[in-house]
Amino acid sequence: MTTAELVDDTTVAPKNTAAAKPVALDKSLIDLSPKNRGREKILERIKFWRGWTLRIGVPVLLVVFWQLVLNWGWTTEDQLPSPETIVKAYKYLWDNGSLQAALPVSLRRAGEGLLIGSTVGLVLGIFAGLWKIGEEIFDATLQMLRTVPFIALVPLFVTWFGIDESSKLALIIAAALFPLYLNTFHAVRGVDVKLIEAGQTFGLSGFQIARRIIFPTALPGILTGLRFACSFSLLSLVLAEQVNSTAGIGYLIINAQNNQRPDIVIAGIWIYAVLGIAIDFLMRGVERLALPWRARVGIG
Amino acid sequence: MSASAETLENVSQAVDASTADRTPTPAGERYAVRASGVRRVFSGRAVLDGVDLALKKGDFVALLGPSGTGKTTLLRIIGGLDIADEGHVVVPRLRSIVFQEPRLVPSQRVWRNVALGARRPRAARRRALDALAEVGIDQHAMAWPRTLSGGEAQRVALARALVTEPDLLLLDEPFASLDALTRIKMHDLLAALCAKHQPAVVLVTHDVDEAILLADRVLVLSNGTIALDQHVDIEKPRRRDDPRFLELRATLLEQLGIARTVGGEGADVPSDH
Repeated sequence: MTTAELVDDTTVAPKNTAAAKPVALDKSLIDLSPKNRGREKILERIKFWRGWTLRIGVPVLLVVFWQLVLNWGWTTEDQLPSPETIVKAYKYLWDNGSLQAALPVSLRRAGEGLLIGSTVGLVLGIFAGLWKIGEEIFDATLQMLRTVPFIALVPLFVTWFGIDESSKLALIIAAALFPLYLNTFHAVRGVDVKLIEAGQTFGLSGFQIARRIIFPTALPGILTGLRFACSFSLLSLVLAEQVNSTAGIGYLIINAQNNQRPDIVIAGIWIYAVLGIAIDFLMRGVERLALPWRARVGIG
Repeated sequence: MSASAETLENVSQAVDASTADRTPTPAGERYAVRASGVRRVFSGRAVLDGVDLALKKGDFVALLGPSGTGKTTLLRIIGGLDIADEGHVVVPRLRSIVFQEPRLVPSQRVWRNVALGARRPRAARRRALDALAEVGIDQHAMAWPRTLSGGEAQRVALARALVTEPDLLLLDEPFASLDALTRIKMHDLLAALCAKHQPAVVLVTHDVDEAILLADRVLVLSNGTIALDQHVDIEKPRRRDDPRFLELRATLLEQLGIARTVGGEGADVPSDH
């Protein structure tokens, strides 16, 4: 007996009838019964690998194109150094020790500014979120200040804090403060009033409600703010280091520009880019760890 | 008022101790809820207009009434979530509310949600697990609230309300969003838990059958006052096909403005929501 006969003969194979019997479909019906699982599995695998291939492949292709542009003679090394030259620039910077000196300086600037700025933003945001009087005192002022692009503050900060470290730190603090303040404030205010009410019915004090209900529920919003604060502090780092740096990656770039070394300029920019990706990657990890209850699959 | 001053809390806006004291309190009987002349006005309309309510420990009262008659408002005033414009309200300090929605904190595991109401943090975990076992879902203690079904989440809410061993348990249509089968199970569970812990219970519902099944007294709220205060003299467990059940059901439906023949369909009064 062939397979075709089995399928067609309902009396011989009653168990298979529903699945195997071809159903006449008109346009108003759609067949959702499982079929061709093998093909779907292959498609799933393709989708999985496609993601990573494209994420990595596109930047790689860009670098290859970059190299080709030079090979074809569309531009010269003076204008656009080849990727190969830039890799050599890293080796040069590493060998003379300037890369090792610059990186910690820049990271420290961004880190300190981020830490101070986000702490202040967090505290102010919580204060304004929990207490109406906090909002009344400084929300309007902060909302006004946040609309000022912090680039506009650079000359002012140099006047106020001098051209050394403190003006750079002040700029990064200012950049990190606002995203954290805004997101924390809105996250705390956005906590469902029904949950707070439920806490009140158990006689929880205001502090207990804040600690047990409001903060855990507001955490996603606060982490979003932290993510913004991270990228803003990096952005302001680049900006701050353009002004009279004596150390750091910005110093390397400015110095290279003065010495007509575009390869080192691009090498510095690449470092900024890698830092940005690294921070984003890190924050994704933090969010995954801190917010397990939001995961698609529940634990336990 | 002096004897119960420590456990009772006055949530009325204008306290008049002498008036509250005039409520007759027979020796040995402690009132869990004493409310008189409660009035609440929303945008010019008196939703509650002189409601009197007295409950003893262990009383189970169901509050019925058509939409917008202030059932939930009265419950919120007794629960301390809303304040009356006039009147006197004295309720126990230890009270909890189960709402129509479970209102669980999504970022806290189930047992932590139950422990939310616990007063002594050190014993909280043990007691939360005990309470979860009592409502029959201790196996989900470590789960996140979003992974629970509607019935399971409402059981957690019930466990959370009972973990503090309240003197007053307020239920605001707690089973309204559950499916019919789960609701039957929850009725049995609630009846058993209340029989065991003996809190005073106020159940707001729009389900006449639910009210008769569970409550010792059924109050019908209408035009801002309690229009009917009916004792349910049917021994538990009650059966829906008991003639006394059907008779009471007809009486209540008539009071609610829905004339039906005994045993007719459609016991539900439209919900407030």
